[in-house]
Amino acid sequence: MNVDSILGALREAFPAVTLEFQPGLLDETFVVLSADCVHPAVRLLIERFDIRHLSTITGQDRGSEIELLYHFWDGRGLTLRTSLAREDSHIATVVDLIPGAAFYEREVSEMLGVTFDGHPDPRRLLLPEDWSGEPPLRQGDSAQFAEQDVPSPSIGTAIADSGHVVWAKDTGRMIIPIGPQHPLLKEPLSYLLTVEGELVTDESLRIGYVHRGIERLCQQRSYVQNIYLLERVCGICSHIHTTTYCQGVEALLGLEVPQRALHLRTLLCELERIHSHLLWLGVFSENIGFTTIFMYAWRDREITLDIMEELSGGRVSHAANVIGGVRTDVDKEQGHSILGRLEDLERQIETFRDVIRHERSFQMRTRELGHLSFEQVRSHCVVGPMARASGVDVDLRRDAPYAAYDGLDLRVVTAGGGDVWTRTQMRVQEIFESLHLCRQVLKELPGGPLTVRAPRRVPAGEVVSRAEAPRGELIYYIRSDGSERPARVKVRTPTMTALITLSEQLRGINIADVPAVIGGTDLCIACVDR
Amino acid sequence: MDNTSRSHSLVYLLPELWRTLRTRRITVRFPFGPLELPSYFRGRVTVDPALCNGCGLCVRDCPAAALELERESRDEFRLIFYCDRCAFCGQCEAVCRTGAIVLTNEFAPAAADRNALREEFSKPS
Repeated sequence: MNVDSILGALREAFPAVTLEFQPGLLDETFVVLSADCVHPAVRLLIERFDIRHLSTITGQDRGSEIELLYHFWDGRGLTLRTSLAREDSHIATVVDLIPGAAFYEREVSEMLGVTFDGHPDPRRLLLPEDWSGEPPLRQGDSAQFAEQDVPSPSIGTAIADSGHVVWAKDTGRMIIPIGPQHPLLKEPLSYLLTVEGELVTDESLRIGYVHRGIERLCQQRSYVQNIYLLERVCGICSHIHTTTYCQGVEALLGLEVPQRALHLRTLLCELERIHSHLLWLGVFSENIGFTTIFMYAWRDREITLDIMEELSGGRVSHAANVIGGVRTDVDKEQGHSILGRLEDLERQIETFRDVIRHERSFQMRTRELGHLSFEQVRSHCVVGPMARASGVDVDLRRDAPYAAYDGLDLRVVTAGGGDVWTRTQMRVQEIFESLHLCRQVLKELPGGPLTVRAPRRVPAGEVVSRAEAPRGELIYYIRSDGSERPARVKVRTPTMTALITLSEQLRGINIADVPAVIGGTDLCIACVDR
Repeated sequence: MDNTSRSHSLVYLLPELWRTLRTRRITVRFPFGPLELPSYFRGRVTVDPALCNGCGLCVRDCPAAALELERESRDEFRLIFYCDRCAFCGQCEAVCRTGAIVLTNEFAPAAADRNALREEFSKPS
């Protein structure tokens, strides 16, 4: 990404408007423009520079106005910043240009009371249908929203309004609800599948059942307390959340984190990726009825959990990261023992790889299923293994090295198939790469201190922090106003991008294949809901 | 459907079964037997009142409000620990400058009454 040429093109396109250009921390560039320029600017980014990946949209209450930040990514970060009036705030949607922005806009809309003109589906995303009053991330505007009642039908009324009866004998059309509580789902979300005969013809998705308001809670806690709060965003990839948060805060503070700490962070990140992929392999195998692999994968996942517990004291909530370093250490003897256990684990994963590669019934359940093309993945801003399985070569560990990834030998696994089968093969292959990284870190662990002293007050500023979670790009936006508490923490988890593609994946498939598609997408709902 | 893969997963799973059958039992007999925990394990919080200087850093940092400090005078104070609120993150231990707070390996502090989980560490004891 050539920032200068982008800025030049934007200046050329909007000669009447004053554009402001602000270089930010962690290689992020901020461009300030007025609200009516956002849609044409996004069009320009797509058409002239092929920048299609919108990481997320952050909305925040800046007192006198509502501010929106469109975080783009193309090798480095580019953020379009715009402000809206508090009264009757509205802006043109970008969903027509970037279909993947649909959920981001819905979230900003309900959390800050911003209307996106022309949004095809302006329903609630996270908040309950009967939520009324001031949007949760706005302050001091309760009068404006007291009367307002956003038309947002509940799932029940949605069925009634759609004109479909639950079961129409003449057309054979039927609506099948899956969730919020369903044996297929490990976490609560709700689908309404419209089925004609055996085929899924329509799908409606509802999330928000485990929304905990973590972003708002962050504003009420100190930077240190937030580490432990954000660790609980996700029950699988807790460490990557604290890593991304801490590296953001460290950038705001201008801290130089010791190399040993960065390496230990990386070690835990990779162990966590192995654990997450094995967990997924088990859940997915169980979804398609392959219980043997489920049992074996979850048994062998214990190896990584035991190592992580030994390193940090917790199986899932590691509490290993602190601002300025880590709290955990590994000595020579321990490192040696971990290397031995990783070797055992690798042998087990070779078994899994062979089984899922050669087992006929496994292929029959997953091949040519849930197909996503390269174009679909790019237009929906999909990240992580889901994108790499469709041939999009993106991995933040290589493209924007954080922690200690810069000095490690990392091979990014990509594949071109784009179906569930490819995704399963690819994720298992990624486990081998993670094992390779763990070994490198353990063998080349530099000496030195584990932490640097971090001040409690964080100077005013803002930062966009990105990292590659097991499911793909995780992005944090943190703004400090100079106090002990962050003024805004925005979290966008990778599953948010995968959820958008589900409607594309589910339409037209057999009802019996729905578990395989949902399983193969590797959803983490608590992450999305926050 | 890939016609090149004629082999059956049993080829791969039978050795796995053989290995599993030859492995000793991994399940521990807890709670009837002991459970080994790593030394880093973060369990119930204990405070050594002799070491505590009542600075209150742990109270300030606790993300779960599980610690309270009641102060009578400079040298007379009580540190109260609410185990029912504790998230076992270990921040209090990490921030303590005198080493008075230690997270023990005690991990099952269940009680029928939540008041039984309230613990006071007073100085002078």
